[in-house]
Amino acid sequence: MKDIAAGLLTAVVALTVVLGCATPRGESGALRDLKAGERPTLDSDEAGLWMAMDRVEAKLKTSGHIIADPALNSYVRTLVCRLTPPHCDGIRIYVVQTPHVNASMAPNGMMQIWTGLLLHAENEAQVAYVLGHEIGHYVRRHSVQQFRDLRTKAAASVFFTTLAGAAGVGFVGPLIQLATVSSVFAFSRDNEREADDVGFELMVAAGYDAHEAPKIWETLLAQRAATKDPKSLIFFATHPPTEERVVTLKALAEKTGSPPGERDAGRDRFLAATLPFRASMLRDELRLRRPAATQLLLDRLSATSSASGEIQFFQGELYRLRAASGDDARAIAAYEKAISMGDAPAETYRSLGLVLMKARESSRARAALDRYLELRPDATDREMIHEYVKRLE
Amino acid sequence: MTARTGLLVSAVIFLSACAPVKLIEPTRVTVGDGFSVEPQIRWSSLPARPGLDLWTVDGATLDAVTFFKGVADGQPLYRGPMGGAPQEDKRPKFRAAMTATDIAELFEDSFAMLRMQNLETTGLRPAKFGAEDGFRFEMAWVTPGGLEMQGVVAGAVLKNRLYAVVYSGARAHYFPRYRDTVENLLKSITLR
Amino acid sequence: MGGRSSAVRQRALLVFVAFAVAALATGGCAKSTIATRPDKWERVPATARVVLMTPDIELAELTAGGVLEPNADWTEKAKGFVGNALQAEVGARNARLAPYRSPTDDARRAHEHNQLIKLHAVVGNSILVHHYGPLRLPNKEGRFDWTLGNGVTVLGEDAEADYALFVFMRDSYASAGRKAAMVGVAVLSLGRVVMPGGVHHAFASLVDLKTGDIVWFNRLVDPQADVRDASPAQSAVKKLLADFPL
Repeated sequence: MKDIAAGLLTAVVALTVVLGCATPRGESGALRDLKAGERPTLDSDEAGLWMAMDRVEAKLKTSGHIIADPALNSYVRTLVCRLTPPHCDGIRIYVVQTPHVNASMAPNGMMQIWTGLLLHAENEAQVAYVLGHEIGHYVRRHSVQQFRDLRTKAAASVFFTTLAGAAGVGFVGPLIQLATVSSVFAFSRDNEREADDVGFELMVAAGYDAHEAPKIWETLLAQRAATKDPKSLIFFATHPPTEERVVTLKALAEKTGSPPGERDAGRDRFLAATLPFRASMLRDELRLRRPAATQLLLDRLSATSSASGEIQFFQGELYRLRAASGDDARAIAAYEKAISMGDAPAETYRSLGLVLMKARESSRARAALDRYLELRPDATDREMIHEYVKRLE
Repeated sequence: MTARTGLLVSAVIFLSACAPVKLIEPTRVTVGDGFSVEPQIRWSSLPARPGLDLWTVDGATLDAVTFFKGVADGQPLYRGPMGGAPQEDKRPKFRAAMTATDIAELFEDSFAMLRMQNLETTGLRPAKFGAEDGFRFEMAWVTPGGLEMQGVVAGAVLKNRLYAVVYSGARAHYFPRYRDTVENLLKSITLR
Repeated sequence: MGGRSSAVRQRALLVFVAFAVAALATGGCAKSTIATRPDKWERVPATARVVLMTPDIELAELTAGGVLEPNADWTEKAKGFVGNALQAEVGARNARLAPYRSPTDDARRAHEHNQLIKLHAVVGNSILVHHYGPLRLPNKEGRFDWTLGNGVTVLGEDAEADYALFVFMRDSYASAGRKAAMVGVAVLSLGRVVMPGGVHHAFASLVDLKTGDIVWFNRLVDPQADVRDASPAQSAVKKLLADFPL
């Protein structure tokens, strides 16, 4: 659009009546809860919503972003069914590969869990709280409630778009669209409070440590503080983060009477299920090129004791990619620390070799690259690595 | 859906109704300064953003040969405004000191920035780029709309600039169709 | 109402730009144009089995700010109206028309089907841009030889069909605010600046399920077409299927 047209347009739009968006009113208890196995009657407005979401789901299935791994899917299924036994059959779970943190439920029972959430959560209890929160929106039928509260037709059509976006169709377009779309139509504060309550109840009833609930919020808030572009944090688009939520959840946890750490956080189960995917999730995370936020994540992960050589390797990768002054030396130190821990992935030697090459440490570089080739004789890039070794001789 | 699957070509094309599409005949063609190839078959050269040439037989979202004609130190692979992609200063940049491994990573990260999914880079190996020492690797990815794509990248760094040829196409039918032709095209590269 | 970020505007512009060529190509002309392969055409038997692929339709609202907002409600309804109209129009001429069903029991074959369906959308878009549009490909010399390739035999076997009919529509309708803005811009610029009224295009293609070749293709560009209701959807489909070879 030429500048002159844009300028004229601005002038005209200023005079044009802009349709107002009805402020959603979340009346708790205005709609009775969804019953297990229930589907809306065909001619209801709710049926229209379900149909729209069925289409979105069909698109999501063929989008190429879904992780089909049976073990991972079985793990999340077990988790959801532990949280909500009556509704478990009506929920279909999709694990979506993306470094962004998010989980969502559409009114037709389509649940999305984005792998960013699995990377940033510390244990099963934290994931359970987030999923429980989404199940809360679903069971309390907040989407339908909001739809019925709308007064203007224009806002109604926006509503459908928002739902599609929140359900992840915006995902096959720019993710930032979700953030913008929610500025038009987020869940109301009452809806959010209610979903927090339901999420909390479900996680406690399933036996999880309630003190984990506020922790995932704190993690996300810290991530936001470390990011220069907060609009890129998708979860916040539909779930406005407030200190109030953290305070409320902490108070609720106190009230349960169980001290922190007494009840189950499901840490070992969670780590066992997600560890096979951690390397690829961290690669996706690094690609976001948000070193400050990624550093917070790595700090948290370092505190875990499982496969810590892998974490140190990615610490080295962070430095290598950041490439600020002094980062080469930091990267080398991190790779060497990873190697000393005994469970560093073979790629550590490759990255170490490449950074040493850059630093003109030829014999150390050659040793590292040789070791990589020993560990990965079938590496698809072995010819190139051989070439580097040759040049270092 | 179509606009999204066309995102990669939008990365290259700077649409302008006035810029004509040129016919490329199968005789040696100069692509850039001292950079020439033998096209092997007839192609159409589409209007492209500065620093790139873009050839196709059936349309750039189906099959495309993209020439990177000397990316300078500190520049990203794709320059200029691109709807949906980060601003130029936020894009991954080429550095003259990069190894072939770093350059393969640069292509992967640039494609990820264009929202391509399930990126896989394989077979990185040294290969002649014209008479120069260069590299070659294969790529596979899925467009935002879910169409599976394949690519092969040939390149070299000369006088601190990156020269590369990327052949990309839909896995179904189109990529295999011109693969052998492009192999001969790559063999014919001259770079001075 | 919350403000639109520039990223959304950029994306809308990208959508606009990606379709711009198709839009530019209309030049105000609402005629549909047929490109066929006559040599292939004579070999289509009257008793051909045709599978009707699920229409790929998306409708959007064009807001005053130039943002294309997909509208799921309109899209749902249009899919129904267009699907029914296709069934009626083609079904009247070919008794062996059957709707497409994805193979539910074989994930690998379903995946291949999906790739072909997605490939068709991209091929169709290429045809719009390069056969009808201003970015004609001189290497083709006017030939219409686009194909899905012989990977389509999977689809032919599973659907038990000789040909597949695909329909694709992207349409947008200007909001009231947009219409006001268009008039405003025209007035303020003394008619020199024309604000685009959105995206309108539809195409249909008949694919030979042995070779993947597109044996019949038609494109409809009609800014007046409105498929959000049954009756105008029927007339749009009639126009789209003009000179359909069955």
